[in-house]
Amino acid sequence: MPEPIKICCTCSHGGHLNEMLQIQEAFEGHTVFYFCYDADTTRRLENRYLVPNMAKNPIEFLKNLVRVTRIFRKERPDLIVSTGAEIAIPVVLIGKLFRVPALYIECGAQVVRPSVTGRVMYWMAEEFYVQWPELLAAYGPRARFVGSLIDEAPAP
Amino acid sequence: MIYVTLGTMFLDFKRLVDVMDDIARDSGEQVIVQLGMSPTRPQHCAWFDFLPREEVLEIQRHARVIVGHAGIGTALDALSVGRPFVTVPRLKRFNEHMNDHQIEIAEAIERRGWGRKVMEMSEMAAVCANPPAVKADYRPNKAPLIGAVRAMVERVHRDRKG
Repeated sequence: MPEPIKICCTCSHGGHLNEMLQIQEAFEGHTVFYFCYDADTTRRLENRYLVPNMAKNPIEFLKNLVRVTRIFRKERPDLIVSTGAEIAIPVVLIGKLFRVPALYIECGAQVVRPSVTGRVMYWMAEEFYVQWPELLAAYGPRARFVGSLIDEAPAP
Repeated sequence: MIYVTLGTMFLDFKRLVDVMDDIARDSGEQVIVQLGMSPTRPQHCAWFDFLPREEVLEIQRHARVIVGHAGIGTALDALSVGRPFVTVPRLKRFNEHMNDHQIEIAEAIERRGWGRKVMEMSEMAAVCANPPAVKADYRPNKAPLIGAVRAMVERVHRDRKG
């Protein structure tokens, strides 16, 4: 088998991080690093890059493009996984340049209405999952419901 | 003991802190509040800002009722310990959140019978005195989602260089 892959996990804190931690078992045997906002909860992570939580500030967005480029040059990830939110946008954008595929899981907080980040990621990510069947109708055919960390609805 | 959790949101949630403080004072029951970044401090409750997740879950396992903002992390943890769960959506008009998406979460939780949504703080004392039933067989459908993530990891692994 080839060497283990390196996975860039990117998410905000709060529920996004809670979800990211719950799917870690899918990464077993591989290497993970995080790109997150600086918060009490994210400081407890190992292998993490933390940036200021000023997502709506365009200067910070541009800075994140530079930061992610540097990090990707060093880390050379093979896959990006995100549970939201907008912190994923600069990561997946730079991922396009480095030809790193992305999996975006719409946060369970989005029940019936898409998030702004979700609308962008729907077109940018190679795979796009939602966690409530109610939300499928709001997206197009690229969106999939394959089970949920919160909902009991069966995956089709 | 009532456990109250405001999550990691950086905006104040004074409405909920104040009503829970009144309940602690009037009922004499212990109320423990996870405040996070909410600046309003209660007078009659025990409180902390953040604790390691395992310690927080341990407190929740011993709670008679869990009252939380309707954040998804809060919901995931509260549902996982199987205690009566009351949600209060943070609302934009009180500057408690940037939008009103927590109403959708609270409604989904109520629709599926996992907990009770409270919009009016005047109802809170009665709801805490008579909390909603726990859905004993609550079981989120995690395995297929984690399996799908694993499948993508394996596909990338297989395709890598050769």
